[in-house]
This record gives sequence, C-alpha cells and structure tokens, in this order.
Amino acid sequence: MSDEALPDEIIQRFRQAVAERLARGESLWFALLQGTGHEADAAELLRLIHTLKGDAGIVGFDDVHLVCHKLEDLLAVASEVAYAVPDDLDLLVTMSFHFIGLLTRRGTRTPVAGIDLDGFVREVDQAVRAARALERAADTGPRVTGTGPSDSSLEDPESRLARAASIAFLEHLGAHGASRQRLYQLWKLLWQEVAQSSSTLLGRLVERHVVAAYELCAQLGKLVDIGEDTRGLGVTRRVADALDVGLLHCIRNAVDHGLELPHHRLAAEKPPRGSIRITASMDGDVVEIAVEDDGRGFDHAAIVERAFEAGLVDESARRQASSVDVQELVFRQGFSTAGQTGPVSGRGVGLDAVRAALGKVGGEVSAQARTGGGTRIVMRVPALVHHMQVYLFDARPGVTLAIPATWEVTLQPEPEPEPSVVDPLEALGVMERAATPGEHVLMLRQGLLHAQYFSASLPRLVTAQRVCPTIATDPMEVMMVQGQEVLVLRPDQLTGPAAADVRRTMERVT
Amino acid sequence: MSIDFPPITTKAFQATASNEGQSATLKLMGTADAHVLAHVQQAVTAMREQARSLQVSEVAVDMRDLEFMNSSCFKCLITWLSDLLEQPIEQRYRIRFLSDPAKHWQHRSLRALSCFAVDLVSIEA
Repeated sequence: MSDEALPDEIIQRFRQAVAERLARGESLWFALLQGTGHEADAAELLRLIHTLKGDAGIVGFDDVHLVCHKLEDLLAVASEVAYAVPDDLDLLVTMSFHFIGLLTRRGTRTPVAGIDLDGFVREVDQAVRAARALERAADTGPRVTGTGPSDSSLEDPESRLARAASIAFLEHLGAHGASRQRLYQLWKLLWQEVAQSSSTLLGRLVERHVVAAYELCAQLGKLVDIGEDTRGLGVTRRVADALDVGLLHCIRNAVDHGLELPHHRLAAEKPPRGSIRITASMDGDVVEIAVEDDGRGFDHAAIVERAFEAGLVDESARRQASSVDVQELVFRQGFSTAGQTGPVSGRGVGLDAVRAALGKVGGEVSAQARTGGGTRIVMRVPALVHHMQVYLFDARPGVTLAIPATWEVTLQPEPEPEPSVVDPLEALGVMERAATPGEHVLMLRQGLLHAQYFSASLPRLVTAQRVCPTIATDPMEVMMVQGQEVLVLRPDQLTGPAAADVRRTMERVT
Repeated sequence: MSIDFPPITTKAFQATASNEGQSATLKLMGTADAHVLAHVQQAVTAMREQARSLQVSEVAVDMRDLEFMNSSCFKCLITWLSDLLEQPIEQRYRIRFLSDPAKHWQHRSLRALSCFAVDLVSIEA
C-alpha cells in the first residue's frame, strides 16, 4: 500500500503516533538499562514496538515495519539477559529508534538515498546471533555458588583448570610469607597448564583436511591446488573441535559441489585445475577462517527448487527465485541439492552441522558468492585470547580487584556505612573485615542487578587480557592488566552467605 | 576564521578541536564512560555549534586515541547525526570518523551508525 492511496491525514496521524511511541519507548529502554524499570515497563516496551510495527505495515511504511521487526529481536535478547546488555546492543536499540523516526519522517515515497537499511539490518542480525551464541555458550556451564565446587562433569578440562587457577590466586591474596609464595607458584603452574592444554594451532587443523581433500579430488577425478595461510593463529581446544567439523564439511563441499571436472572447467574457460584457499585472520577478539573455491558457485535456481520441494519456501518465493536468500537456505537442516546421496556429500548433513557446532562455542558461519565465481564460506569463532574492559579498584591498599565493564560503576556520594555495602575480600573469605573500610563505596549496576562494594580508591577503566578464561558462570577470573595479574569478580555469580549482596530491583518493588 | 572550542581536559577524557579551510576536526582522547558523559556532551555540542557557524563541509571525528566509549557517550554521536539529517541539504556536512582498527569496539557501532547516511558518513581505519 503506498501513501498515495491513503489520505494525508492518516499518514500524519501515523507519524505523530510514531513520534510519541518512540519517545515513550526510549524512556522505557533507558529505565530498564539503568535498573529502575519494572517488569511492566518491559512488557509495555515490547507491546509498543509490536503495535508500531503493525501500524507501519498497514500504512505501507515497509522499511519502518522491518526496523521494528529487528528491534523486536534486539529487545527479545535484552529481555533474556534481564537487560544487562553489552554496549553495542544498547547502541543498536537506540539507533533503531532513530532509524524508525528518520524513515517515518521521510515517508514511503521519498527517496531514501544515503540510507543503508540492508547494512543496518545485517548489523542487527549479527549482534543478535552473537548475543544468542554467547548465551548458549554460557548455558553449557554449571551454575556456581560462592566459590564452592561445581558439577565438573559438564565442563571441559581447561575450564576446570582455569577455575582452580583463579582459586589459587584468590587464596594467595589472603596468605602471608611462604604460604603466599607457594600459592602464587600454584597459580602460575595451573595457568601454564591451561595455556598449554587449551590451545591448538589452526595450521595443524587445516593440514589434516588439506591432505584429505587432495585424496578426495583424486577419487573424483578432479584437479586442485589448495593454499592455506593461517598466520600462526590458534584457538582453544573446544573451539578447535568445532572448527574441525566446520573445515571437514566446508572443504568437502568445495571439492564435491564446488569444483568442476577438468573438462567442464575448460569448457567454462577456466584453468583445468581448481583452486581452494583456506585463510585465517583476526578481527578484534574473533578469528575469521574462510574457505573459498573458484568452482561453480551456488546454483541459485536449483537451491530454490530444492527448498520448495522441502517446504522451506512457498510458491511465490519459487517464482521470484532471485529474491531468495540462498546463502541462508544451505544452512537449513536436511538441505541438499545433490540428486542422490553419494559417498561424499548430498545427505544434507553438512552446513547445518557446521552452524550447530560453531554455535555451541560462540561462533557463527556464513556463505557468500565469491567475486569472480565460486563460493566463500566464512567461519567466525572466539579468539584464543580476548580482551575486555574492566574497572580496577583497590579493595585494600595494595590489593587490586576488578569488575567487568558490563557493570555500570559509579561512586556513592558521601558514603555512610550500610549493612548492604560489602567488603569483597571479606565476603570471599580471604581476609578479615578491614578496621577502616575503604573510603569510597562503589555502586555496581547491571540491568536489574545491583551491588555495593567498599573501595580504597577511585575506579579506573582499563583493558584487561583474558589469559586464563573461566566460564561465564564462574564467580571470578584472573586477567592481566598492564603486565600484572588482577582478580576480576563477577558480582552476579557470587551468591550465598560469603558473597556480594546482589539484589534484583524487581524484588524491591512491592 | 578560527574555531572557538576551549579544550576539555579531565583526568580520564580530553577533547580538542581545530579547523582548516572548510574542514574541522574534533579529537577525542582517553576514556569516555559514565563519569565524563557531561564532558562528552559538551564537546559534541560545541563542535556542532562551531560546524554550523563556520559552515564547514566536513567534520573529522578523530577517535584513534580514544580507548573506550560507552554507549551513553556514543549516543551523543547518534543524536548529532540524526539532527544533521534533519537539516536542509545545503546545511549538511560530511562526518568522517577516524578509528583505530585495533580498537574493535569502535567497528560495529561506527558501521551501524554509518548506515544512517552512507553519503555523509565515512569511517577511516
């Protein structure tokens, strides 16, 4: 429906309603982030955006409808983590509000030159996928109360070693003399074990699959040159196991489905020898591994036809095949365009397994048509060493702790001792309560969660290196800041009598 | 005509500005978190006013020495761009973000921001 078909009055009323709803929506979002919002606010926000989406569809503002849909995805993720969202997600929500306003004011028939709506949608989709992958990765770990034992059967050995290392480091903080030195040595030994046992060079992983690929080509009568450049990068063992699945399927698909037989390549004016290239690079805290071939690429029509037969797309999509996102279809379970099951591929158990395997370790995979012909599959997984922002503070003079910067850390003005203010070292059981508690009180806030800690110093924001990572449900982790070890606490994971007092705002609303 | 922008200097965050010809540069340094939100807002507001009065054709926002910017501070940039897009075409200027590729936190947020106006916003790493 175009706005030429609708009276101008209706369009103007729609625009006014959007402006009012956006203002209310931003206010609700801010409150939920600050921890001052309630359950009813969260429900109202979701309702508000859903209504806005529906109205946009009715009056023909399809772009607004789309952005509202993406905003719903973002809000769903935020709700799942009690609005303790990372900064980039918060920004995407805010940008969505602004985008909706911008698109509404421009109208359906005003050229939207300069706006890259597809690009914005892609950013949102990536952020939502990344957030969901992190949630799934965190969910695979056991919940830990205080600093007690967890169900170690659910974790990998590296995570258990990392926890042991962090406990050793914690205990050394409260020890003296020879005991302190021994505990520090214990921390170092355990850390070395974690480092050595948890890393796998990508080059070694790839090498195995390259050898197998040459053998497979020989069986199929194809010729290939395979190049690889993994730049000496490594990943954790857990991630390597997932990548193994990814490389297996991607390289086999490239050989079986991608590369053509030599005479077919010659007929297509290609060299008879096909090319497969496997490369790795760093992108922040993510390792990106690409498998690309110069083969026949995605057979768009065949993929859409197969998807139609499998009930994955309907008749109208089949007729407008060029608009179907085939690069997403190939990741659906059971999908395959191979006419018959062969010894190599064609069972449809391939790229969907890659996506599932990588998702479990916080990774993702996508497919692209390669410029110049062929296919490029890109796998993105967490890097071996991550960096993160933390707030440093002195729990005592000379004893520095830290809090992840996903927590908002502010100072309570004119602090007075309150029962709810915690001495973290006393709460962790490594020191007696200080005779004179820290002169500052840090207010910690993350979504609906709150805590208050004594501090002998002002908090300072720094970048820390995750050299011995524990799982997200562990109460602490040792990180390196400017060459020094620092114990980083996760206040939301400290529960029980000897732990920080973390209160949910909603529990205080009666 | 010189830009009228008193430097902002706090322990954690600093902002300076300069201009040359039809271009102006806002340089942000240090750490922009909740503690310095008011200073970040002041810097962005002052830059916007100067860009309008000097009628520049381009503003470069140099974030290469900005270690971190939290979402509250980044929202100042979103509001800046949103308001710029509401101006008549002849009053719009380009915004060029100078980013540090090693500071990955900048990438996603700036990429998403550039989607508002790919003809006005560019990112240089």
